[in-house]
Amino acid sequence: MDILLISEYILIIALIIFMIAAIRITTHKTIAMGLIGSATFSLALAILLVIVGSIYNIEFSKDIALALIILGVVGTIAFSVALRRG
Amino acid sequence: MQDIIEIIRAICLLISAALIIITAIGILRLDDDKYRIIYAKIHILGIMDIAGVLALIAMDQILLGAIYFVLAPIVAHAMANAYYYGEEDRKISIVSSDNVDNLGNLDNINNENTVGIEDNNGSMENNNVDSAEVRRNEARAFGIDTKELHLIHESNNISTLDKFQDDQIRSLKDEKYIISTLKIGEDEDD
Repeated sequence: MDILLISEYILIIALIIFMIAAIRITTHKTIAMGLIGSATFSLALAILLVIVGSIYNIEFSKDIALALIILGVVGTIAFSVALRRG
Repeated sequence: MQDIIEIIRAICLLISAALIIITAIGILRLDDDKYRIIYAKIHILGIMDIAGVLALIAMDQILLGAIYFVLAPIVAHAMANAYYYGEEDRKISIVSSDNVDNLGNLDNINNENTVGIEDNNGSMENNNVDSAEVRRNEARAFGIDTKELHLIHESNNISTLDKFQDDQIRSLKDEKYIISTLKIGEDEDD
């Protein structure tokens, strides 16, 4: 088995573990904590999509990852502005 | 040559996987009830950002990695800024608002509880003197009137109040300080 493939699977497992932790942050009582959790969850999901796309040769997963990263950042900043204004 | 590049990519992926797992463990181990824990969480999640950039570059997604490398600090700053001027600011304004003056007999309740704490832990008397000075300094830093300090207690001390069955006392629990929010809660309903 290829060493690159093994490392990709290890990264997938690490990302799944991190996503569980991100869900725990997201479900915290404060709004800002939910914001942080959702921002990191979208990043982890984007990386996961890139890896799965490269393993199974799914081309459009990279486009989805790009959209997730950019729109996740835009959404986080927009919500931060709304939270700041109260 | 191709093998060497693959090995380097695999090593980068393994490093990012290790960083991601360390970040997840650190996030789960943090005590959520600590005061201003959100800044520590943003700080820890910076590791995840860099690990993600490293993984994206190792997966030949240079553009994605570069974009997120630029955007990650902006996002972290936006979240910290929102908390600083948003939720945290509101929490402090709750304490310094005029509504606290209308809370009636809560002062007596808090005094009774303070006595109870001292009875249970006699050695805490000296610490209480120091912590009172610390609380006064923190109140001045937040712009809170020191006359209202009798309404603010550290949650470590107030945790002994959990044995009481009074719902009024239980509702006062907050992250670090206990804030008299009973009247304010009624106002929010309006």
